[in-house]
Amino acid sequence: MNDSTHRAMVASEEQASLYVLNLLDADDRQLFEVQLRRDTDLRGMVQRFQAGLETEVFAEMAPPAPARIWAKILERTRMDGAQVLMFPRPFHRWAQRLSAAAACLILGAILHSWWLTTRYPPMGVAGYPRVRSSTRMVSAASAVEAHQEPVSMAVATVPKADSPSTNGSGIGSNAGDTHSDSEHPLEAANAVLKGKIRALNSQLADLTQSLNQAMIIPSGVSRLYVFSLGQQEPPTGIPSNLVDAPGRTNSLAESLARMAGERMALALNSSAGSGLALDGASRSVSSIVAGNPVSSEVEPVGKVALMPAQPVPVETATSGLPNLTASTVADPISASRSAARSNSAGISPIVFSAPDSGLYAVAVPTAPPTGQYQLWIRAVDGTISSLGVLTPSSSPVSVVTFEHGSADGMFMSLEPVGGSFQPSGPMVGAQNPVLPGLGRP
Amino acid sequence: MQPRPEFRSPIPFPGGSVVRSGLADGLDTGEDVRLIAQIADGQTGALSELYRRRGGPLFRFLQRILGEDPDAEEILQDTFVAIWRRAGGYDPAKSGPLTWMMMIARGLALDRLRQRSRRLSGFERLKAADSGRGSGEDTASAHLEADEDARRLGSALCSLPETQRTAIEMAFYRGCTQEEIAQATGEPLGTIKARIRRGMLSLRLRLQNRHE
Repeated sequence: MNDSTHRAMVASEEQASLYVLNLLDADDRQLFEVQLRRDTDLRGMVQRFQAGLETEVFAEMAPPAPARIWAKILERTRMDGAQVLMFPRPFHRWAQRLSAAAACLILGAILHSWWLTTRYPPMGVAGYPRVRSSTRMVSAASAVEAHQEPVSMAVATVPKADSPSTNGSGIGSNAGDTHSDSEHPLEAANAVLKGKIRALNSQLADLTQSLNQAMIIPSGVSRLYVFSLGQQEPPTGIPSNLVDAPGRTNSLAESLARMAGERMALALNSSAGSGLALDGASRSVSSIVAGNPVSSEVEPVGKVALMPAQPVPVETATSGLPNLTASTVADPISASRSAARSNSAGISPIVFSAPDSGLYAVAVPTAPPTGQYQLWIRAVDGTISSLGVLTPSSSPVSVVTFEHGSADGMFMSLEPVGGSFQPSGPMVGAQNPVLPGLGRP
Repeated sequence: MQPRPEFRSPIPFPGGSVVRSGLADGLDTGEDVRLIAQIADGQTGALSELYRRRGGPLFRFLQRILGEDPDAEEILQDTFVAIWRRAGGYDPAKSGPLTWMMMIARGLALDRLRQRSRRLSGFERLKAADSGRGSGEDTASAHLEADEDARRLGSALCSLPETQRTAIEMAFYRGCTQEEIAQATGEPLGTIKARIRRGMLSLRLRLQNRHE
């Protein structure tokens, strides 16, 4: 080996050793990496130096790392998959569709009115009623948030048949009318038009009322979580804090575990007054939802925390469970739990409820092959309104918490994608007391 | 976002007896590559196995950098969480799995060291100066302690000549730059580079000798 070769070799070794120890500055490092990609000998040298450092760290005996660190790592990796998804609100789209339909009806009425006016000019035929168009403001402000501005709609109106005509040449004032008892073509047209306008007004009223009703989301709804429970495997045990007596699990744990076939990491976060004790794990879930590690404020309605399927170890599952005890939660759940019969898609969702604690849980073993699950809430006055559709997810368990007394039932139905205005598919529900026809245990 | 895991089975704590990281097992990296690939698929069971295999040595390594301090535990957590998150980006062609994990741990630990030094930059430095303990004295004391730790922990660097070992230790365990090492040791920069090179060659030879 001549001197120049030796010097080049030394320079390469020097650069490689500095590179491995991360001692090169950014520019030199970049140049070296370019060279590294081209030069296989240099790559081999770097790998040998790296292996030399590995002996420093890995080649000797070492005691195992502490168990407490492993538990924390698992907890963090389990939480790592959480993501906050927007809870879809299908009624936004419905509201738009309904508004469009109403606008079409109104336009049709205007065109009809215009057609009648052109066919039977008011001044052309004496004694014929004059169709008058007017514009009035119909406020939909109370309907939906998205439609708070007053909507200007042109509505065709017709004077009543028994009222004097505005132009003095109405039917009643037609002195020369010898066909007052017979059915004049214009009278028929007028009647048809009035009927249509009545129907239109009625539809508009229904529309406004429906929109009002559709967008009601109970103020007490605080959170909706969806948790994956993993694949369907036989349960291998129930976490100890869900056991309310030796050898006997409480109904929520038993049912959910049977449904999901696995111990679950069920974290609840209830608003004030729900009466559920929370542990550290559940608080950390809520902080992920809130996007703020220290936030404990109630989330706005319409957010879903989706925990993708992940293996849940015993230690983590146990630490992540809420403090459910037989005295506070198990009995109400047992009393009001209801299960659906399998529907045609072979899906057997279960809704659990503990109304006294403001807790409703939905267990869905599989995502529906068609459509989407839609959640419905029954307010204390009996009004059923939608909470939205569940976003596609495999094996989720949804937990909805309400403030005490704000709702007395929650239902789920299988609906077309995007949701429905009214429940149309098979329903499963839970309330206190269980309503007839909605599935019983 | 990396693909999320399917459920496998409950994961027991990956404890056990003292991990013997001899050459037969400790530096056999084929299994580590396989585990990292499984972690990239979202299998926490693989992470558990990797923790069993490498958690102990990495923890000891972090203790070398940070001392026997709660920080070392915290950084070990961060290291395995980072492994979990970055496993999808691991390229075996670029570095071995042990180097990859070691460099993740080292980077996080050195960041923590820098945070500590920033915290010490105010009142405590002034206090140390007032008590008559110069920074050189502190450094020497720290080196003595580090030497003791290294011997106790069976560091491979202990087999190197003093000058080489000091240079590599300052770079590897303290995150010092070449200039900082030269300044601290009072040697020219070229000398430091040469010492580091010879030290790295010695470590490599040591590894070869163990293989033979």
